[in-house]
Amino acid sequence: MTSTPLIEARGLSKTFWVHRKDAGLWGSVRSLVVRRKDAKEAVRDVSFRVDEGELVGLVGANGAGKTTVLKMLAGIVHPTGGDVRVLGKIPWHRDDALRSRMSLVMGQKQQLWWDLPAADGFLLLKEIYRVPEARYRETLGHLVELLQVEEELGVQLRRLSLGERMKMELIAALLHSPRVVYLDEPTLGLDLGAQRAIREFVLDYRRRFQPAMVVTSHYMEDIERLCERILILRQGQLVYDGPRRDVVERFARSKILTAHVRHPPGDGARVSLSQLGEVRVDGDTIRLEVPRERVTSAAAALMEICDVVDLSIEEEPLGHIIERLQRARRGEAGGDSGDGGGP
Amino acid sequence: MLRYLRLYACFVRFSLSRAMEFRVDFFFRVVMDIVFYAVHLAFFTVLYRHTEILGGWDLDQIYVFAAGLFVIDALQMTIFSNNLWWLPIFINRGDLDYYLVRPVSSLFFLSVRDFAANSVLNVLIAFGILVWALGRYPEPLGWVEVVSFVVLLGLGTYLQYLVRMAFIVPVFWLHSARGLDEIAWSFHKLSQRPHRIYAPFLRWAMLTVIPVAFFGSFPAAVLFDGLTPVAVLHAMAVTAMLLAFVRWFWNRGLRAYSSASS
Amino acid sequence: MTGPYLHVLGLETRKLMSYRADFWLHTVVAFAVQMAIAFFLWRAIFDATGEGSIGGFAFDGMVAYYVLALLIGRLVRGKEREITIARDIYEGALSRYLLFPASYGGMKYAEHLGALAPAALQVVVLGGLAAVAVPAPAGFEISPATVAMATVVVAFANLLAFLLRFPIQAVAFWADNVWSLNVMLRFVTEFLGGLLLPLSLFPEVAQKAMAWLPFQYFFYFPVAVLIGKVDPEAWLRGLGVMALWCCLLGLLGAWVWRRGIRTYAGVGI
Repeated sequence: MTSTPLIEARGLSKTFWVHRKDAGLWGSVRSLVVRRKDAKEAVRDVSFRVDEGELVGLVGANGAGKTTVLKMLAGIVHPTGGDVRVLGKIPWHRDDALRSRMSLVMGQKQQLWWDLPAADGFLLLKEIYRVPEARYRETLGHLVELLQVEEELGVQLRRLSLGERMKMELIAALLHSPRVVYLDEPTLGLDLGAQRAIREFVLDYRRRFQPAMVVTSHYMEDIERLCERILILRQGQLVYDGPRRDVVERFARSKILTAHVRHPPGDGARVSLSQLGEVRVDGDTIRLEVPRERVTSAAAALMEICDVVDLSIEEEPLGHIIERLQRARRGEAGGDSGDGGGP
Repeated sequence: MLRYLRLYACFVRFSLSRAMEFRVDFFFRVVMDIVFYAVHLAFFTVLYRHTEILGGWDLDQIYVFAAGLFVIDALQMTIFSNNLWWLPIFINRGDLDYYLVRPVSSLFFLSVRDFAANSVLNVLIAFGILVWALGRYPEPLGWVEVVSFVVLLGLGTYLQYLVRMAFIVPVFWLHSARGLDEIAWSFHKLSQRPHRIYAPFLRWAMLTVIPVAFFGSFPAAVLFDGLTPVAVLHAMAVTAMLLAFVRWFWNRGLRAYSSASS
Repeated sequence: MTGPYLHVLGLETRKLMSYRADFWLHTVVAFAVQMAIAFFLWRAIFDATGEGSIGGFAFDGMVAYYVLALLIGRLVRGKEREITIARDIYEGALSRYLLFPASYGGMKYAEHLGALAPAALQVVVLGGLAAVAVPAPAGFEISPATVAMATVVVAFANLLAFLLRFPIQAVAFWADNVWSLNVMLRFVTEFLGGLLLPLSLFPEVAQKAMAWLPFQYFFYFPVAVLIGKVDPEAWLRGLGVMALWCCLLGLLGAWVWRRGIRTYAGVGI
């Protein structure tokens, strides 16, 4: 696997300045004269590469720098340091050859015309991206079929549901068959059904066209279903770059025991259980979170304390781990920053 | 070039299908502009009760000059105004992102994407007034002059857009609601009177650095005084300089935008 | 009971004062440009005709007229380009106001008054500069009495300006794009009110008709009162016409408002 990567970022950094204004009249007058600025390091020394056909998840808390990284890759934001090559070109030079071959979807901003049917917007994009008529028809037909939105094509965007709108946005982004696709929160605010449809579509698209894709999402399910490889950002720094599955092995600290019991535990039983780990009782279901190394002894103890009908042992959910990584201060997350370098 | 024309055709088509939804707005705009034209013509009519000549022009000539102003104003409203209204808002909200990732000039896209179909009737009315004013003009007019007058009205529309743009681009740094657009409108008011009434320095500025004289006065002067090679060169030089400046300034603005946003 | 209104008034003032340099720059540039246009326009006309006086004004008097009309007009009209009432209706912010235990019209009038603070400051600064730059022209008889009379007119006219704008903005209950109506109103006000030309230049008949319209009370009338061209009797008559218009427009506003509220969908609550 030594093909040239479609996306390559080296030492990417972004510092920007925030103006501050105090409340009240005096603050307003002061800001007329002096403007105070604070430096904010949004992204620090981030390096990674994405190859053809890869779908990489970019995760982190709000403000960890996900969107900034994505915008730098798309050429919208100028980095303060470091270097990016997308399809061998520097994205913020914004030359047409590169812009014709990449695409950006933002869940919280829409690109299509609000008062017009999506079909009209697609026609405009066809002109913008110079898609030949025959290929346009073929691609559109295919995408519309995959997402099952034939009926909605002629309806004004503002009359569509959020999920349908997002499907249209995806079609709009893929009409020109981009080689590089950035998806920023593509499932934001969607119901479970629509989320699933979008995910299946993205996977299918990837299978067929093998673009390089980077996706950010707040929904762990998106990341778990879509991405084999993830990048974890914390306070602008890359703290993990590698297979999704390895995150659990490297960072998970606990396992979760879920037991169904014949009789709900009494007070005495609850006290004994709470000595094993974090416990939550819901009727005849007991959920016990215990450190990984003590999982067998905890399971044995649990069976002794209660009359267990059924017991399952699971890994700590990915979302938990990432959340914990975000909270931890630098250096004590247990992870050393991005070695691995991808699959 | 051809591609940009095709894009523009798309914008016009969009706007037509959207305009059908806002018929009341369409009506308001027509009435608003008729009031605007009426007030202007009445202003000059009242003024000429007390003088026979203003900036070298008599009332018949002033009507032609005013009609030229109306045509430029209507074209401006139709082609550029909506876009220039939204542009500072987009910049301030950080909504340029989608325009920056497209393989099309962002300046072109953001300047003309919103064609105001509901102002098309105003253009027709303004042209109607122009035909009326030219028709009642007692002296003979050369056809070369009439054609260059009409062409210069088109150029005036474009220059008016460029001037406003030059005053809007500072929004990238000022982050104020409308930038210096209000100031551009103030200067624009200078153009509503014949440029020859102004002091030499001001007149020079209006013909060069802030070329508001091109919004009506310069075309009318060419119509009445004849088209000279100097006038042609002058118009071309002013356009080229301003266009170069606006493009340079816009690119600087985009740099500021992309280094400030997160 | 004036508590909330006073607070709104103060807030509005602060909002305007905190505008950045471009606001103040615009104020100065707009004034300078409008004065330049008036100056050169009348210079050209006086030069072309060789007349000593036009419409009762000598050249310096004419320039002074425009200074006064512009400054007084700012006091009368406040933030005249704003269409906050229409915006409240479009964007659904009205719902929030309707929950307040205060009258919406009262709140908005307080806002309107609050917007006067920067205008008043401008009048003091620009008026002071103009007083130094332009010597008092012949035929202007400004006395404490005329200042007092003009102040009453301005206060009245300010209310009138608000009442005139209110029903027009309330059209927003039924139609998009009230801004074009607002612009139209501005054109008419500036022309028939005497901001573009002193009304004494208009034909007799037109002048008589305009005395019955509300517009001249925004510019021409207060200036004429200030420079001593209006006798107390005509002054009282003017106040009477203004009072009539205030009642008429107030009733119209209340009526439009009641009908509008009924159709108000509460968009985007």
